Amino acid sequence: MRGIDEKMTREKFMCELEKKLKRFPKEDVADALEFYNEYLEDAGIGMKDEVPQEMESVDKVASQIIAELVDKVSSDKPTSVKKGLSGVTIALLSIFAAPIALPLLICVAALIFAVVILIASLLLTGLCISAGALISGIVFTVSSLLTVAGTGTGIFFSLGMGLIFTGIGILGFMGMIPLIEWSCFGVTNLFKNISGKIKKRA
Amino acid sequence: MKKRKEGEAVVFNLGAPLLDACVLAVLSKEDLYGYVLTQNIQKVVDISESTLYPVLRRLQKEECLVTYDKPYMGRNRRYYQITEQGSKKLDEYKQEWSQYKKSIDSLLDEGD
Repeated sequence: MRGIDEKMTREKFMCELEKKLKRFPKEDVADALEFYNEYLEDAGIGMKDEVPQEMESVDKVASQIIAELVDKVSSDKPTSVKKGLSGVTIALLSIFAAPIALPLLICVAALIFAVVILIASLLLTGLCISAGALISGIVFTVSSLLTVAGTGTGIFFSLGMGLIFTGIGILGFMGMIPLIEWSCFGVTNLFKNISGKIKKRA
Repeated sequence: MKKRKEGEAVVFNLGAPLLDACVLAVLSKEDLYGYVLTQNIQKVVDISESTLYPVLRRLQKEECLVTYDKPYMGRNRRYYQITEQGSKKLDEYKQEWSQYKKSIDSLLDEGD
């Protein structure tokens, strides 16, 4: 172990900044690292020289970059489920990047985990119900068409039931997709608010 | 705790819109790269090195700025250039600022 007053050299600064940002999208990280590398080069600071005082706190520099990244993802409304999920990931990572006490972090993480699981299970339930309706609807329809022995009204009754269930299933699926996107968006914003509060406390 | 640079106390806080306006104003004169841009802003307002990068990213996202690379001594320098939209935004900021300044002045001068 070396002393606390070990110099923050440019080499060390860049290395630590990269470490802090490593879980964020590669493009964004590369852009930020390039900016700081160029800045320090232009400032005439060599790899073994100390960085300006303001940059000594890599945490602070990293948190400002992260704050902007989170802002970016939650202000763009997700256009697809996949994009929404990547927003959730960035927001979640930003919480873990915030410097706070470990017990509090674990507590917050557990709470968030519970909320996410709850939302995910509700969405899954919705999907299962829709799938159930769709499958039974198709089975009803097909079986009513295949039933030759049935009376005239019987066939129409089960055919009608089958079509109704199929319709309900399709409507259910159509309703679930915006709901899933909306949930991703909501969860991203929730994380953003939480990470903002944590930063204020820290 | 916020540190202040040697004696030159900054009494008023610089909010995000005003910082955006300052960056756009500096770039409306010429295209600049990160270091010189920071230096120019720091001549006037007390901001840390790490504040400017997120501002530049935001302005790029809002299509107020674009960047291009220019080779310099075997490496690239990223220059920031104001767009038409950025100029429009700057004009809006200028108008807002002069109105704001007038109303604050009128309040502050009331006692005289």
